[in-house]
Amino acid sequence: MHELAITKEVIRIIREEAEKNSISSVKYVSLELGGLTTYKKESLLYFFNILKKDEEALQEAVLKIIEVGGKVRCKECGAVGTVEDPILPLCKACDSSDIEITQGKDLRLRDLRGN
Amino acid sequence: MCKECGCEDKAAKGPQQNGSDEKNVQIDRKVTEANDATANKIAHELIHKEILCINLLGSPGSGKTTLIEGIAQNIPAKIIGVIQGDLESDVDKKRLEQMNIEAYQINTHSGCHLNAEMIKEALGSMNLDNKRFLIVENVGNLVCPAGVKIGQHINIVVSSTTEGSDKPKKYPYIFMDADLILISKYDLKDAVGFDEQSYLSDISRINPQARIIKCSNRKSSCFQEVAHFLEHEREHVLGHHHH
Ligand SMILES: Nc1nc2c(ncn2[C@@H]2O[C@H](COP(=O)(O)OP(=O)(O)OP(=O)(O)O)[C@@H](O)[C@H]2O)c(=O)[nH]1
Ligand SMILES: [Mg+2]
Ligand SMILES: [Zn+2]
Ligand SMILES: [Zn+2]
Repeated sequence: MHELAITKEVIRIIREEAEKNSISSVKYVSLELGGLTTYKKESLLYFFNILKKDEEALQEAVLKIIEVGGKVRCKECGAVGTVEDPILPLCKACDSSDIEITQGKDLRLRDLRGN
Repeated sequence: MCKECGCEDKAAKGPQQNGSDEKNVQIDRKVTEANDATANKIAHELIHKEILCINLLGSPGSGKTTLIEGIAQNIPAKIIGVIQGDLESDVDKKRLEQMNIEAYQINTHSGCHLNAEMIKEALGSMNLDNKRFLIVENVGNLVCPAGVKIGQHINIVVSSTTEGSDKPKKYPYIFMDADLILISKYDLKDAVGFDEQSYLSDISRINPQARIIKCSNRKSSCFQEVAHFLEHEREHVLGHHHH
């Protein structure tokens, strides 16, 4: 449910980019999904495949979702690490719990192919 | 050619390039950019009006409106503006108006959270002269409003003991961006067996920076504490902050 609104935005941006680049039939789009967002890959694909039917330029579009993991940085000692979920780990280098997220909180549109 | 072994690896290039006229455009656009731009503009305009905007989040019935009422006992009601986000009805708006707090009601109908466009529209019909705080009570929900910018300067999550101590673990995203977590209905913690230690330890792993205030509507000192927090945050956000 939750992904419907954001998928509409995905489609709006694709439409804008396709027009800007004179692409009348989009074949492929890639979306970078941060591992620390609330969006689920399956739901994004589900809504995309429903919504694209109403878009002339997207009839043949395939959406590829590239999941990027979360990255964190220790505020105490600066050590960086990866993180799977928002339950932050303790810093492996200094054991501090004062950690900030530096990657994984975004959903970004990356590549567009078509003619 | 594939960098690894020099073979002709089509799969490594992604989807098949069928026509020679196919265009390949590199984009890097944040999908929430339109909402974020509107939200940033709202946040900026409110600073110019010297108003602190608060995104008030939490489960249905956690005590969000109760908190606004408590704040208005410690900060003059006339300098507080409220935007109420609910699926339907204006009961919370009427409740606040009884305390002389000006409130604007947004009914999202099926919408499970507020967005910046809705706030922009609401602000168009509100008079914010002499206001210092704009409190936006978001739709009661621990999932959907998380991470959606509405023009706020700070986030407050109201999390009641009656919901259980596992909420940070189950809904970490909403707690992740909180500046203040209000543990509400603290008077009921023993009755419902609220495991405070485990709750606080989860919070410290999700959002170690968050300020935590324990609160009960039977004891007004916590509302005073929240009011001080808000005044302090306002000074901070407006840039007049001196330590
Ligand atoms: N015992 C106790 N009850 C409380 C406390 N805070 C709020 N309540 C009660 O909890 C109920 C819900 O409080 P509200 O302030 O309406 O909650 P809300 O989060 O605004 O609810 P929605 O807007 O419907 O999502 C009311 O009956 C309040 O009186 C508290 O600290 N202790
Ligand atoms: Mg309410
Ligand atoms: Zn939702
Ligand atoms: Zn460290």
